[in-house]
Amino acid sequence: MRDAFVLLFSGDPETWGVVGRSLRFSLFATLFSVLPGVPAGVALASRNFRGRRGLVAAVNSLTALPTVVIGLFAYSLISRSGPMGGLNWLYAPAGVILGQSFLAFPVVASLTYAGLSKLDPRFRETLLTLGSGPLSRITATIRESRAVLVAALVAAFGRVTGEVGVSMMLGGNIRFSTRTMTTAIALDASKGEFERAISLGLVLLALALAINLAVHALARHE
Amino acid sequence: MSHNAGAGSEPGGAKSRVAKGGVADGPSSGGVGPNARAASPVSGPADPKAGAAKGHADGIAEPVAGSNAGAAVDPIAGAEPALFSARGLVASYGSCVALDLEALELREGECLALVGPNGSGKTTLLKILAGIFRPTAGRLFFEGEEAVSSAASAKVSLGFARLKSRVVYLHQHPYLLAGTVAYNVEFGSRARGAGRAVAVERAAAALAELGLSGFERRRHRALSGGEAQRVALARAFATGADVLLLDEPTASADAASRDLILEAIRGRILAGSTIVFSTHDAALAEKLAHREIRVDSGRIANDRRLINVG
Repeated sequence: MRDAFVLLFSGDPETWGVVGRSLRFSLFATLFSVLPGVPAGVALASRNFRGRRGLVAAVNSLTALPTVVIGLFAYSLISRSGPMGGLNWLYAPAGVILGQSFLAFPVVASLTYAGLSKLDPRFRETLLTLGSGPLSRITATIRESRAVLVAALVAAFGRVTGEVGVSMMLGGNIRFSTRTMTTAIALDASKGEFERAISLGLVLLALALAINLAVHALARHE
Repeated sequence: MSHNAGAGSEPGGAKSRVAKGGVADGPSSGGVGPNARAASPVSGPADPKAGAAKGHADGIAEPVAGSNAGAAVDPIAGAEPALFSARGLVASYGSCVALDLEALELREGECLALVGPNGSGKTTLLKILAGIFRPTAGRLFFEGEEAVSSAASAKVSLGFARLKSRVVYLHQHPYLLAGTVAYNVEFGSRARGAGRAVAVERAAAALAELGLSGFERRRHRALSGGEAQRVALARAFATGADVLLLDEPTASADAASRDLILEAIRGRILAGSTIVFSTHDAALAEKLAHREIRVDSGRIANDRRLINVG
């Protein structure tokens, strides 16, 4: 344990390189998942169409899907024989980010839907009677539910930062390229090199704590 | 955000009804449609003050022309198309029929009080008139054009567009957007296309009208019930709408706020705005309205003209 702290606080470049890479991948994946995730959540919450309940159930179920299943799906897309094989994203950072985006999308969509569903019915009626156009309604809704949206982002970020299946399957755990905190922990632990595994585990623990505190703070603010 | 009272919402599992025989198929320009039943409420005068001109003393009520109270047909009523004309409106929540209205007409500049107990259908009627609640059956015409019906396509009609540009609805317990008073009131103008400068100007005027000058920077959470009600009314005024549908406008207000609200409404009536408000308070209706409709169990129990000048 002592060695783990030494490794962490001595500023070991490889350890911190892995941390930085992990955060970078997670950040991009979260951002890319927001683009379809928030509109999907808004559509599910605000539009009444046939099959909406089934879709909501499907999106909620996807949030609990094992990461290796999502990894397998993304693998089938970007492997050489897949429809996106020509991009050469397999075992590259782009592949990990794509897979993590798939992982984060249902989290963002589901939490956005859940948050917007709780908005007071008078809010929508107020916008309608005041004569808000579509753009004005969207901006007002985002403004009104910004705490919910930030909470969705934070939760999605936490989900992708802590996953191992997608990164391992699509990134291949390549040193200085696609190795993330979770895949590094898996590798180091399998080799019996627990110092780095524990130091990275501590960083993950600190991140999880920070994310939870942020979500609670937002919920209380809301 | 989904809810069963929003625009375009359709009460689920509603027992759908068609407009009954005897209800005119379109908006009539006169007070009494050719097929209207004797009990149907019909239009008031084109000039709400006409009753006074006919020599009635203040406070004396007269049944509206064509109602089952047996008054003669008002000659003024047929002069121009009604602003609102409802035909066979039915609104249901599941198996519960909240509103079942044969016919209703409302003229430009009229102030109508809807009086009735809780659950009598006042709010449902106001929301249908505002175009934010789709009836289970029936049609609503605005300026002679179909504006609201049980069909979703009504939302793209000319009548609906006209209605949206002139009408604003105020909830009994208004919803203020997260932000300052200024943001809320300016939102009312900006939502209808006003530029920033115009919105600020209108907001200042509306706030002053309701005794809220100096409240601009206050957060929505820091307001009392009465202040929030006044802010919401100011926001409605700031839209520039001249048809105000007010659901229990003094419900959350203390005595001071109530006086300010009533004064502001009276000012709007005198300025020629068309106002429909709901209330439990019959005395308030007598004091403010040109016409009173008593609603009971979703039906019009009585429709009479009051001799008020606001």
